[in-house]
Amino acid sequence: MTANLDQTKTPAPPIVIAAAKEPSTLDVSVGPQHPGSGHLRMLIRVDGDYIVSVDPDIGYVHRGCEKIAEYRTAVSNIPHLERPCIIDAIHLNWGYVLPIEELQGVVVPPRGQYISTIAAEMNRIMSHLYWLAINAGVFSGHTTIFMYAFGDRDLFIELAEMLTGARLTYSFLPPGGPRRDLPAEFKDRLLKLLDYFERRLVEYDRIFFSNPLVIARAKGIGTLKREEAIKLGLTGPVLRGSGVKYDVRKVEPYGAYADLDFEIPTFEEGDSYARFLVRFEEMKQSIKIIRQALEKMPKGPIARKAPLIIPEGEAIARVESSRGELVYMVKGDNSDKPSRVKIMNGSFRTLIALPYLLRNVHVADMPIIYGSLDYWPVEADR
Amino acid sequence: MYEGIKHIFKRTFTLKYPYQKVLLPKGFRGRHILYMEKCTGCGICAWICPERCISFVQAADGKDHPQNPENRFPQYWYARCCFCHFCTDYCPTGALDYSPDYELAEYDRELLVWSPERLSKVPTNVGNYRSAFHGNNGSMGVTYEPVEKQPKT
Repeated sequence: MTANLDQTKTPAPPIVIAAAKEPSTLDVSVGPQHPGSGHLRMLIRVDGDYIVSVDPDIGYVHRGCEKIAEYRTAVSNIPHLERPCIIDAIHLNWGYVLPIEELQGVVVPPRGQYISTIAAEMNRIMSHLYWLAINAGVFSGHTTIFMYAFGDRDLFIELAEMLTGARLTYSFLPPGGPRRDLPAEFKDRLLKLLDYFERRLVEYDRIFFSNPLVIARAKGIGTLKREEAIKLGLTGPVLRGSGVKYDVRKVEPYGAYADLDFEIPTFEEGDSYARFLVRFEEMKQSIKIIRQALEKMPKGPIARKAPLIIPEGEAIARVESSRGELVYMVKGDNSDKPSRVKIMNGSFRTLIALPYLLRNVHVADMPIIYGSLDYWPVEADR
Repeated sequence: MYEGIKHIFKRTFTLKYPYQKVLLPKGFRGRHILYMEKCTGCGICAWICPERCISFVQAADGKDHPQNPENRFPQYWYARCCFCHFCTDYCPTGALDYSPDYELAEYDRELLVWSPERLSKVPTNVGNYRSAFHGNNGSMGVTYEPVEKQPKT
């Protein structure tokens, strides 16, 4: 491929990192070459070994999902709207479909709701395992948990493949209900996997969460107080790690969550270790939810035929994704395409906590704090 | 230390890929199979396709297709396909199907364009295959509840 070398144009100005104002400080650019979970650049001002301030530079993976959605039909939007956070595809898909179903007046039959709930909770476990492997394990230099968590995640992926037909790009929930019923042997295999995974969680606790090295690195680091977390408008595990009991599954139940009994794990400390533990406890709650849903699974149809157009109107729905509250606004104008889709996701709201947390901490603590937020740049940039 | 010793006695999980292949579940979304005797050329697959990878071409098999008088059949461009298989699920006559064939890499870009005749061949490397999910009536393999007709606005 030949580069377009147009000599007549003035060359782009070179990127100059702003000169440090105080003589003792130094400005360092981290990224945008994948500091962990995506392309994000952080301009960090350091004073010796301490971080003075951080300026996150976002937008490297902006793809204009909201604009593309205006040119695709309601169903065709699903595959590309789940791409921003592909490891959390079911939640991104479900959040988009709920307002469309509301506008169309389609009510998904109970069995369909239960299947969606099971798929979503499996996806939550998969997403948290990915976080445990990369954002907690690799960032704290713990290679064993990376291997363990990624290996166990693949078992869930295999079952998701059995249910939906694809390993990650599920596109499982079009308007009207899930695309497929539970396959034969799926229930037995899932229950067997959950028994195995519960034993593994004990091992994870022993090897990672109770590990003195992890506690020494994560405890008391990046503390976010309850009032601060509310003021910053955070959601999801980051908010619950600061002691706020807020979860969309309880506040505004969707799917089959209203019938199921589960708890919202919260921790008062608000530090990185508390956020670690919130996700660890959430995996246990997801196991509980899947077990109940498989037990209470009603019989009957799984989906209704939904119209292919979006009626005129505007609807908002929210789901609790693995990274926090996910809000979708869909506006229809009686055509097969939505006239506007607005996405607000957990990662974007988590980002604002980064400059607050990375202040007066060691440079070595930066990966732990960044990892504890479970920030996904692609989802935030959309 | 104990963990490390425990792992020595565990069996390996890796497969020697071109010689050993992973067993795919039924309904795996690989490349499409086109049943040319069922396709009416309505074009819903091309309309629903998010990647716009389906175009309609004249079939060159020389056979007579009474259900498809214009002789128009879908042609897939696999360089764009994202394997969401909405085309399969929304096909009103059940002319499309899933297949577990995922080895689609080619040396030539133009070979990624699959003609209707090429699509209608059932993959040989996976045996005689018919997915369990797809009903013959094009109902996505699921039972629907009847829904009231909504008045047009």
